[in-house]
Amino acid sequence: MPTAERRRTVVTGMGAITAAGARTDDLLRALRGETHCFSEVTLFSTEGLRVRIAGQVAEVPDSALMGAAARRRASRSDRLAMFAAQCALEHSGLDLSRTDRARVGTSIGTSTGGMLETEAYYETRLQGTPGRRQRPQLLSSTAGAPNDMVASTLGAFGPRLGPSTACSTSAISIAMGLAWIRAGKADLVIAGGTDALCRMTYSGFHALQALSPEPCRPFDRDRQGLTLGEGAAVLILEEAEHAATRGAVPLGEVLGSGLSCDATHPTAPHAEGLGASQALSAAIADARISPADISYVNAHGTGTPQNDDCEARALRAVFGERAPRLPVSSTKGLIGHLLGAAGAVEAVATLLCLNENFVPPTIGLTHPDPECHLDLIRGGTRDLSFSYSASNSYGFGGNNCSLILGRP
Amino acid sequence: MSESVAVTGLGFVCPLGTGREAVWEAWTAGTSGVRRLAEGDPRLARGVDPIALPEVGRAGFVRDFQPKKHIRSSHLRRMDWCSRMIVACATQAATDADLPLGDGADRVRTGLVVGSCFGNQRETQRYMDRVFRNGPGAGQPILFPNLVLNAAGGYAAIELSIQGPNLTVSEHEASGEVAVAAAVELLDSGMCDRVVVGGADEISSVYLGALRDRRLLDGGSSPAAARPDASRGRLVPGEGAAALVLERTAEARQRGRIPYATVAAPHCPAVPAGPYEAPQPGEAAEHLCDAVEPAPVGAVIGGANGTRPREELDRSLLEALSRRHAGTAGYLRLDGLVGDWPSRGTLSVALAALAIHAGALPGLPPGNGASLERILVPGSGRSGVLVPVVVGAERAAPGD
Repeated sequence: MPTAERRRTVVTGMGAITAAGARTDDLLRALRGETHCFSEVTLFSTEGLRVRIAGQVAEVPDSALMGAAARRRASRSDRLAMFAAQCALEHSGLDLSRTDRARVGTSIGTSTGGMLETEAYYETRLQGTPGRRQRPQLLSSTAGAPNDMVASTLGAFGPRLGPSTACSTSAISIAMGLAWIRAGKADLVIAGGTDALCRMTYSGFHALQALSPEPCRPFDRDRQGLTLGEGAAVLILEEAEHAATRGAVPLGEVLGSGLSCDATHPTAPHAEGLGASQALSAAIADARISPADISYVNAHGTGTPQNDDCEARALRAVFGERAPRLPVSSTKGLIGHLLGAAGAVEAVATLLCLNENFVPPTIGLTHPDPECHLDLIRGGTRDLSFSYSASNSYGFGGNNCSLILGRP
Repeated sequence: MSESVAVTGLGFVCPLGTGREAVWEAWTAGTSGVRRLAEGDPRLARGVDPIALPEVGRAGFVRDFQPKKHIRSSHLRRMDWCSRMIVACATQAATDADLPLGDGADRVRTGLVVGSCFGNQRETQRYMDRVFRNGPGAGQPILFPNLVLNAAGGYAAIELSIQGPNLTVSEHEASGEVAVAAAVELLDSGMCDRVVVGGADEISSVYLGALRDRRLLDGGSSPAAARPDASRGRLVPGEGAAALVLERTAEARQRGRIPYATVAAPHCPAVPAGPYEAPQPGEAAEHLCDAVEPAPVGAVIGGANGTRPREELDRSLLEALSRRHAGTAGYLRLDGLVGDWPSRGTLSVALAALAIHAGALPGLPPGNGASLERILVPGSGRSGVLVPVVVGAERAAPGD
């Protein structure tokens, strides 16, 4: 039901590196499976903690596009982002050397950026004045660093933004890419998010008692919290005509986005899911469709009692009587909560499923919380051909972002 | 074509003072917020240990700031220093703009953008010190939520009941200008009708240590410079925050607001540069000039901070501007007044708006050729990113 003409944004390439593997094929295989990808954390000590697992990436391959100097300075988050970006570009078939690079934007966010490496400085500092080798890599420690690394390495000279809005970060990255393409400020946007595991977030969520001692079980009656993960995902957003002109096959379309803030508490979501429902309603309106058109929701679904309850309330508020029949699942039971990368990874997962005509189960979900009143997918994949889906992301600071993804 | 965007509210927490009047008074009086430090200085008690003190010499610490006077929230006790600065100046700006936040519709249509490079480094260091001393189980639940970069944005939204898009952005030394550009973007895209945008960074031991290790700290021997000077090579650290309320000019006038100025963030293609490296100054200057053409720039509030790349960029920019238009643009640098922090660009934009409104750009020598029609704040970050922000005189609407 389009009204005024506007530039459409399609997805022509995707890369995702997660605990499931370094490629989107690995993620797709895992989405079809029935087991989680969690293992004991080996990046740093978890001694003395009651929780010691996470969705850790087994090996972060170096992107062939990075020079030696960049590799030396890059943080783990940078390297994850760079590898995902390289995979996405390859997938898209784009040759950036034949593209007007001033029209190529980058919007790659992170929550903690190079914190894993910065922590090494904090540690040595406690032992005295750090030596030259332990000096903080301040330039790669910031939240803008992964975006700069990708833009600079690929030679993307268009609009650039490095959002950092906790767990909604990379959904917002995609939303801003959509805005640039619609506004004619870019024809292509390399959008996504990255976050490496680090001591700060692991011990922090542990201190908040938000980590599940067992692999997380989003929307389960007996859920006990979240399981952290790490990784990166990058999507090549491309103006539809631009993609058609070069013969690219769209993998999906970003139809709309909605952003909101609860403005009630630094960490806890609004008890009634008000901000979450505002973001989702805004995204649906922005996509110029109605709630009845949505056939699948990739939920934020962290597995914390509070989040899942509030998100279910938000979905019921938006979908009304249809909510109990609306297929909903969370990929966090599979690969964990990737914080700043979560929104982008979940957008990739949703589009992979859309192209394969199925929806994934929530791994770990055995006894759906009866209070949720949703069609929570469990016990295996479900065949479903769908045209429109929503992907939700919520973060500390009451930050909410929903994306509407569809078949091109 | 984007609609004109107006600045309708301003807020400040910076070394010059707290609040618009205090800042203007200090600025026009030529008072510098940069002070010589001594060990045991009470300003260091807020969490900055003297690791780098012998070499710091001078710094632009925020002073005369009493958060309780500006922040009503029950969360104040838990807020970190960076968040307190942002919340206080966002509140000032919202009050100054008489921002309508009374009902749900207004709240949802108002956005908030914060630019910060490092965020809450002091508490991050405290938190990590404890974890390293006592093991991974020693993380403090009360501190952890403050360690995300968007903590300040979250607190500001709570304080002001702003329920629209809430962004925190980071782009090294251009973090302030990028925040302003993102705010303009939110208005352009129709995602909201008004945006409170702020930028903040704090002085921390980690920051001072990194500057010391790279021999970038100005020990106090160099006099404050008035023009770009690539031979300096050292900087004076500072901290602070500034906030602006932006809205479409036509809508601001409709609700009876007289804007301080207009603001635009024209797209400027980045220049090739290695990861985390500063852009090549000559090429960057040409790009910045291209982006703000064709109208001449009357004055520049530069980003020079004592380090060679930023001094050279400002020098190249002034040369390029004078080549393209007859006459020389007036030039003002802020590091002698407040010190340097990565998101200082927001303060530059706010001061430019204040100067245009007052019809005077304090600190410029007489006969400097400056015009207050258009002031350029040339944001430049790492990896070649360029973010020009143009602050312009707001013309009365037809019929006024």
